[in-house]
This record gives sequence, C-alpha cells and structure tokens, in this order.
Amino acid sequence: MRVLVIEDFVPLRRSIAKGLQKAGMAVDQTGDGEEGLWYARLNPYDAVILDLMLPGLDGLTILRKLRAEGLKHHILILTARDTVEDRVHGLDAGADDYMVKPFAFAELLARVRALIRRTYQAKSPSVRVGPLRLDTAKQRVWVGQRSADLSAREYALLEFLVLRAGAVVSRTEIWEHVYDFHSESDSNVVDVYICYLRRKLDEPGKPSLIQTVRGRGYRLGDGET
Amino acid sequence: MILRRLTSLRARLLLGVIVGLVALQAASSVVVYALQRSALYNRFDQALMTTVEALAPQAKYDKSKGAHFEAEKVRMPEFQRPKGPDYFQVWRSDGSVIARSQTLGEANLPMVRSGQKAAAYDCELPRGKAGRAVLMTFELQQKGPPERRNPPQAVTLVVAREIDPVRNDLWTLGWILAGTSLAGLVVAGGLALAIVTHGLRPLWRVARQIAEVEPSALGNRIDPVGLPTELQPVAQRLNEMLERLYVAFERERGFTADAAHEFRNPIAGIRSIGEVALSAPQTVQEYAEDLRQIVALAAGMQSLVEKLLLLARLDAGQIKPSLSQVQVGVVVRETLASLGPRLAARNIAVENTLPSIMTATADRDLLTLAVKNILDNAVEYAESDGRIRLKATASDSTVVLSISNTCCSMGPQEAAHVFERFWRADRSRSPNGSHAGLGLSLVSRALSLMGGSAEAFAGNGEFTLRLHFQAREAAGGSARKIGDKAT
Repeated sequence: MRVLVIEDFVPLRRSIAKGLQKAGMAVDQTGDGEEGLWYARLNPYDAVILDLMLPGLDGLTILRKLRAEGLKHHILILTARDTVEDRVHGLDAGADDYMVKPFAFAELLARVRALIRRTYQAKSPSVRVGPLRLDTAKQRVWVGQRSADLSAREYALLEFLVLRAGAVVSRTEIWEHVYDFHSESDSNVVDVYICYLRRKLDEPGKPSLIQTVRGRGYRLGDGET
Repeated sequence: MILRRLTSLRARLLLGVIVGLVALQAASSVVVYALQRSALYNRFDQALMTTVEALAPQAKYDKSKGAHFEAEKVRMPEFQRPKGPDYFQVWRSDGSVIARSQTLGEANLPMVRSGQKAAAYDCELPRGKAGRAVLMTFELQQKGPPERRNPPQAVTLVVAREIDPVRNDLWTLGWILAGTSLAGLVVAGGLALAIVTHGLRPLWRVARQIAEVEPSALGNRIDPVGLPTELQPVAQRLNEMLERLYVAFERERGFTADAAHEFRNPIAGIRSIGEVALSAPQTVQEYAEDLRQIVALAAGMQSLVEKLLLLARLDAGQIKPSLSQVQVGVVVRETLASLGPRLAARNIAVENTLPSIMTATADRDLLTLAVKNILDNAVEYAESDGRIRLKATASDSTVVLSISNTCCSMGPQEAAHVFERFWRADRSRSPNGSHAGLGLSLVSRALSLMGGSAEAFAGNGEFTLRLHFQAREAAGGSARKIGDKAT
C-alpha cells in the first residue's frame, strides 16, 4: 500500500516514513506544501498523512484543493493543533481522520490501515481468498493451515492483490500502489516478486493462486476473466 | 476611635448618625429645659414682687412709733391659708425685726444683704420646705416739711413662697423631654438604619458583581448603569483593572498554549522514532541514527526550555543587569567565532565594520545573549550564499548596533511582529525544533533591562535589527537608576 507523508518537521517525517515502510508500505514523503500537493495529484495514494502548518502551502489548503479537484485520497490530518474547533475544522474540510501530536505510532499505523481498508471497502482486518487467509493488522499470511513467511515487500504485493481479489490488476497499478518514487523504475520487479510469492504460497502439484492474465496483469482468486 | 475600629460601613454610618442625633436631642432638651425654667422662675419672682409691692405701703413711719408695719391691715388670704402659705418679714436697717407674717410664727426668713434694693433667691422655709424669696429695701415716707423730717429710715421687706409647684412643673417637663427624646431616637435610629441600608445597596451590588468575576469569567464587567455618582469612578477603575487582568490572563493563556504547541512536535518526533525503532528489528547503524535524532530533538527541547525559563526570569526581574562599559566589538567577534562552522556550511559571508574600540553601557551576559540570538537567527534565516552585515554608530548619548541579514521573504508588516513570543516569519521549523520564535523576544527584553531598545526593519531582501544602547556620557545616571530598581 502506498502512503504519502506531508510533514515539515524532518525528524518526525523521517520516523513516520520509516515506521510505515517497516509495516510494508511504500512511502513518499515531503516537507513542503506545494510539493505535497503535486505528489498527491500525481499518484492514487491509498492514504495521505497531512500536517497542517506547512511552509509553502498549509495543510487545509492542500486538503480543499484536492477535494475541489475531486481526488478521493483518504487523508489523515496529523497536527499539534488540539482544540475541538481545529478538529472540526479539519474534518469538515474533507479529512477522513484527525490525530494530535504527540501520538502513539501503533495507533497512527492502525488508523492508516483502517483508511486503506476503506479504500478497498474491506471492513475486517482478516481477509480470505480460497485457501489464502490474511490478517492485515498483524501482517500474517496462512495457506490452509500453513503459515507463510513473507518479506515486507512480498506481503505488500500480496495484500494489494487480496484487497483487489477477483479483479485483474495491471503491473502499473501494482507499481503505483506497492512501490514509492525511490524504487527502481523497472516493471520486471513486479514479475520477480510475483514469482517469489508463488514460490512461498503455492502447493506443489496444484494450480497457482496468482494467475497471469496475458497482456493485462495478474489475478488472485476466481473472478471475471 | 471606635468608628475606626468598626469595619462595617453600615455600622459606622449608623453609629455616626445615632451619636449625632443623641447629641442634638440632648442639647435641644437642655436648652428647652433651661429656657422654661428661667421663664417659670421669672414669673414666680414677678408674682412675689407683686406681693412685695402690695405689702410695702403697710410699712410706715411716724415720729411716735418710728418705723412700723401695720400687719393687721394685711388681709391677703395667701398669708393666712394653712397649706403652702406665703410668708413675709420686715426688718429695720439695723436688723431688728418690725413684723412677720403669722405663718412664720417665731421663725425668721433668711435675708440676703446684697446691697441691692431688690433681689430674688432660693431659701429654706419653716418646716424645711424649699422656697423662693424676694427682697426689697426701701425708704419709708415721712410726712411734714423736709427740714423737720428725721434722717431717712430704710426697711427691708422679704416675701417667700414655697417653690414646689414650679419644681414639680420642671420635673414633669424634664420627663416629657426625656421621653420624647428617647422615642425620637428610636424612630430616627430605625429610619437611619433603613436609609443607610438602602443607600448602601449599590455597594452590595458591586460586591456581588465583583464576586462573580472568576479566573474563568474574567470577561465579566461591573455594570455602571444605575450606580450612584459616588460609585461610578469605583466601578470604572475596577473595570479598568479587570480589563488589564483579562489581557494579562489571555496573554498568559495564549503563551502557555503556544509553549505546549512548540513541545508537541519534538515530543512527537522522539516518541515516534523510539516506537518505530522498537516495532521491528533494524541494523545497528539504524539504531545509532535513531539515537542521534532523539538526542538532537532532546537538545532542541532543552534549548526551548532554557529560553522559556530565561524569558520568565527576565520578566520576573530575577535577573539583575550589572551595567558597565562593554566592548561591543569583542562580544560580536566572539559570537561570530562560535558560529563559524555553520556560517561556512551555508556559505554565508560576514561583513563586519564595527570599530575595534567602541563601548556601550550594557550587561556583558545580556549583550552576549542578545547578539547570539540575533546572529543565530541570521544564520538560520539567511539563504545559502547570503550575507550578514554588522555596523555600529555612536553619538554623544547612544550607541546603535545594527545587524542585517539577507533574506528572501520578510516584509515590513512581518517585521513588526518579530519581538512577539512564538512568532515566526516562516512556519517551517528548524531541524530540531529549537527555533520556536523566542529568540528575538529575549533580545527585546534584554535590551530594555539594559536601558536600551531594539527595532526591526525588513524590506529589499534584507532583515535588520537595530539595537540602541546608552553611551558612556549619559550612562552614569541611568545605570545607577536601573541598578537601584534592581536591588
């Protein structure tokens, strides 16, 4: 899942990005309001963490511009402003969630995951597709009774496929949601990771859980062809 | 004395009014009594005198009898009645008694020889009764031609009567006066109580309104409508005081909120770095980097706390400037030297035209604090490859130190705010959050403690701070003044 962090306080921004990456998310980050707006327009982020006091362009303006342009990012405001008026103001401007600094990182992560689930209309953190079972909160994967040990990047790719289960997902879409700007711009990477996933998930002698749809991309589980 | 000891205004007013009324009543009663007494005695004495004048013709003189009194011709009933009769007695000038009334028996009336022909006096009557007597001395008429008359013969006639009826009347009058005074006092006291209570009611109202002003409701004011003229200035002063309190409270509240806000970011940073580090294993290098970040954030917070404390101490007057002649150039050079690495890192040029010897009246520590904060800001906010300029001018009375740095964005309107606490031209923060917008507040406070002032200007891509100090000549007096205030 790909998340954008717009926060001008450098140590905090770096730490949030690092934490999200540790949780298997692809993270783009910036400390400048204008740049943040540019990032958000460019990519369909699954969640955006937005500070309010920013140089260049303040957070509320970014929020209003995105909403005015019809962009439907799930946005969490993360700010030191803690009054009820501030929260109401932020949520009314189009934010999906509001958190006050300082915060517990685990809670921020949980809220970001909740926003991502909302993106894919999934209510439960536990998702089943055929013999595959995912716990998106704990980032654990089981195939039947067997637990699969995935790297963060592998898990991120699988989670995206699971959340879009039944649909054909193109390489570009996978690229946009699983990788950030700093990843190698080589679409082969997607194929390589699909290969890793198949190796870890598929039972010998059975058809692969992830099907290749020639010329279009990949599909997890049964669905339209 | 007692009035001063009474703490209640109502009790004071009441006591004052009642004591005044008692004195007035007593004085008027005494006057009425005295006037009435004098009138009654006068009338009594006149009546006695009339009797004397009626008796006087009975005192006669002829050659055979000499001076004599024809008592048998006195037919007046008052000399005969058994109860409360009148008395008279007649003496010759040699003191021998000529006649006395039957009512006297063998007793004598007291006679006062005052030398006057007529006199009235109190006396004791037979049987111990109190009486009043009137005395008249007169010469007896002699018949015949003057050359054949004997030397003139004088007799003294005294008439006395019991004074009890007058005394009784006076007693009654006294009681009536005392009674009416007492009743009047009770009524007047009640009235005074009611009037004073009513008159003080606006005061209770003001007191109630003051009681309603709490720290949480400092916006409340005392309503001057309907207050008596005497209380209007009180209400006005109280409202002015409340306004000042309100402003101070709001500033304090805002200051606390701002201070809390400034701490949220570094605390959020430290917590987040720590929690992310603990969330999953990482390399030793990563742990070390996280720790470095946490230390830097803690240092930033420490600097913020120190600035806040310093500001609070400067405000509270806990830091006392010791003014002397300080070499401004030396302080500036030392501070610049400490900033050397940062200046080099951002490639900022320094143009220092301070004369090598120039003194100003200052506290060395406070001056260093001011210069350090200004240069710190200048390095922080000047763009890379920018320039910092320092110059100074001195006149007879003042030394002006001017520090400018190139900066892209600030305008004159923003420059007006730079001395406000927590104000920042750019909302972006320094890497560790130590630039919270307190530095120039400290500068302004430090300068005013040293008897100087600070001004800020911005425009044409440059931000300038001008510090005014007192020069040597004018410094003596004011330095002592500030020193006196501080001790």
